[in-house]
Amino acid sequence: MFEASAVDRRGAMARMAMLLGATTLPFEAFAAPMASAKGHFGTDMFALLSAVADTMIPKTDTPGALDAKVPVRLNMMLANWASPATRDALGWALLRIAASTPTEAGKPFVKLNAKDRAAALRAYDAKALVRPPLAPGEVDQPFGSRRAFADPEYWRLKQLIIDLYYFSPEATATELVYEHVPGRYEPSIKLTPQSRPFL
Amino acid sequence: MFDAIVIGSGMSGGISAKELCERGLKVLLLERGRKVEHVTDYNDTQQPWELPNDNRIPEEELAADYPVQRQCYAVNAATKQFWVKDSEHPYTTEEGKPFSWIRGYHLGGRSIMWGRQAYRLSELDFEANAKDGHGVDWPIRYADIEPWYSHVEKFIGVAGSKDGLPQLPDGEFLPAWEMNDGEKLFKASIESRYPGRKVIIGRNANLSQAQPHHEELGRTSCQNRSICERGCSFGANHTSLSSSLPAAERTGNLTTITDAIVHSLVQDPKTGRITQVRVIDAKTMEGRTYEAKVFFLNASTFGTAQILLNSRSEANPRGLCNKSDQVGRNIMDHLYGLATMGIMPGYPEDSYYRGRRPTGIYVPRYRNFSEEADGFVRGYGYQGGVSRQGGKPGADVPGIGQDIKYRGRKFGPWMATLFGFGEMLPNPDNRATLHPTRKDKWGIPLLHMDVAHGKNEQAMVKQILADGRAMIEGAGGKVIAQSGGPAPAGLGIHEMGTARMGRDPMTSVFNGYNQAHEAPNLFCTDGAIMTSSACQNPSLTYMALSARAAHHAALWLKEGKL
Repeated sequence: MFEASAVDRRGAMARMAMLLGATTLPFEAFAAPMASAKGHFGTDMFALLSAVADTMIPKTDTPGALDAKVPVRLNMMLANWASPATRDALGWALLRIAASTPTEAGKPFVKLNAKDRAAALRAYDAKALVRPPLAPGEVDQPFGSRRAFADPEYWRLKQLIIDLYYFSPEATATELVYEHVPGRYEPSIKLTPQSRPFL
Repeated sequence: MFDAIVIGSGMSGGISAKELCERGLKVLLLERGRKVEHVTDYNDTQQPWELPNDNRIPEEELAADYPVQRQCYAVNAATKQFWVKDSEHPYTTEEGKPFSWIRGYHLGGRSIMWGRQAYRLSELDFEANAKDGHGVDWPIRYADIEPWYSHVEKFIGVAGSKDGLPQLPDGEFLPAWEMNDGEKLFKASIESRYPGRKVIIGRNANLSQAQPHHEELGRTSCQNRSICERGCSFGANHTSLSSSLPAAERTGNLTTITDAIVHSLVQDPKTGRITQVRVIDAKTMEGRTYEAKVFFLNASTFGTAQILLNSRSEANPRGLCNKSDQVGRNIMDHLYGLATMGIMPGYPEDSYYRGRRPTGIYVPRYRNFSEEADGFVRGYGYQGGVSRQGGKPGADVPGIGQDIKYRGRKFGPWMATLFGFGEMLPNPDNRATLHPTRKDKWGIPLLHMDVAHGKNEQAMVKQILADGRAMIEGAGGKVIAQSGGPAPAGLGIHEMGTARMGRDPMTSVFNGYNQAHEAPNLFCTDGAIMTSSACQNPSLTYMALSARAAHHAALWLKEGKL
């Protein structure tokens, strides 16, 4: 019964992905890594995840989410770490991004060019991360917030993509500094224009 | 027959075994959990991206097997092996009174994952019960334990500064870690604004500079990784596996048996002496007994209470050494989860630091010492730090693409964080009892916890939060986040008090030498014996009392007094 429900949910998600144009080719770049990894999402949803991750953290003068294999790693996490509820929630968060684009850019998300994808995701991001303001004198709780985002599952998806990107050899070689064995502790160092924060 | 049997291999059991072995006693160490090998069983060499699932435990497994343990900050995929599965080791709680029992059943116990903060109690603490009338008087004073603090500090290696504070005595310290520039400013602000309050560097059991006697045991200086809870392959933090048990083993006097769950102790009704320990093999369920001349209970605060309560007999219908009816009572844990965080405008924008220092800053107790308190007795301290924001961006800020990368590269403001740790009073109504019907899979009655914070704790919580806010604002900061109240009791992982020390056999369980009032060859030196909790992290005191009790037990055994 449980398995059947899971299959039904995944099937519904795949059908929705097709309706939203999150289909495979011509986005070989997004679908190709599937050949070497078994994750939770099938080809269409994986392509959508890849497109979102690539748009969220694109390759610039430093590697992007695709270089850091974020979609493959996240898809594996969905298979090996996430509960069915989390898989559903993150899948539907992806689909809400896809669903938000036809009216805003005229094409399904995965078929937009990079610039339009970025514009579409930026618009969704701004709406999804709206939170009620703090009351006068109110402060948030430590290590979290008492205030819910408009789309809390989108926030969760975004954080996972960010986490997996920065916890990668590619990002630690170029964006932030990670030293597994720092050795000494230096309590005071002067920042220079070349300084980067530690992970 | 062994000279001594030590029950439990964690923080206190490791030191008990070491000290007894070094005094020539043949020691049997019983550990209820599995064997863990130093270095080879640790996950501390993996880079962040090499850990499974971004270092997260699968959600369904976490919910099913670790519903209590998951509340602990240190539980993740890299450390999963060191936490009990709640599903396999259940306990019950009184309705409406949550209690978080955080545990690790394996050789070395929680000494592998401990927070390593190492503070002495002071005369103020040992006199507290006598002065305000809560609990019973400690049967010892600071002078009784002082040389044993020194003895243990030298052995385990405690980094710290000598601050000359009567409420937090100095010790035998390795070089202290240095404060960063933000912390130095914070210290200067607090100490000038609040005479009597001090901000010091946290004293911790990490080898800032390994000494020859540490290196003899294969320990090296700390590498500033701050992944200590995974187990440290450098042996730079004191644990039973890196430190006390290797010292015990090199004497040739130690025998260790793992997967040995102690069911109960057997007392000779004529002499009062403990003669045997009954053990159940965790894997085969086979029962067996071991005999010794002396027994040390180091099974942890609740483990010890469970063993004593389960050692019922015709002569002791409510448990061993429990004529006082104090076994299982007076549970204390430090008030925990009381965080205040604030950004610090004006702190140096061009300053940073390198390395993940394995300690923070500490604000020693001042309430009911140098400053009065309104509505409560005792006091609290703060652990915390002042650190530079920046690095991996949060997802909560709108923006994608280059916005995320720019935010990651940008150095943010300094952030001060203060976590209050408050003293909890000994209250006999806060107690653990044996469940009348439910048993674990080894046939041992489950513990039932009935613990709540009282009025004194509730008043203290308000002041902890108010002072946290006032100090950050007083140092020029703007508070941006604060806890609404304390975490459930137990989550401080400083549980204590279930078999307290005292002078009177009718109101306490162990005497001033940690010797049972009702069984002359039974000693206990884990958290159970704490007569009051003070507000300092307690492990150093357990270890000092372990060394002290082992010294006396070995001496008295040699003199034929036991």
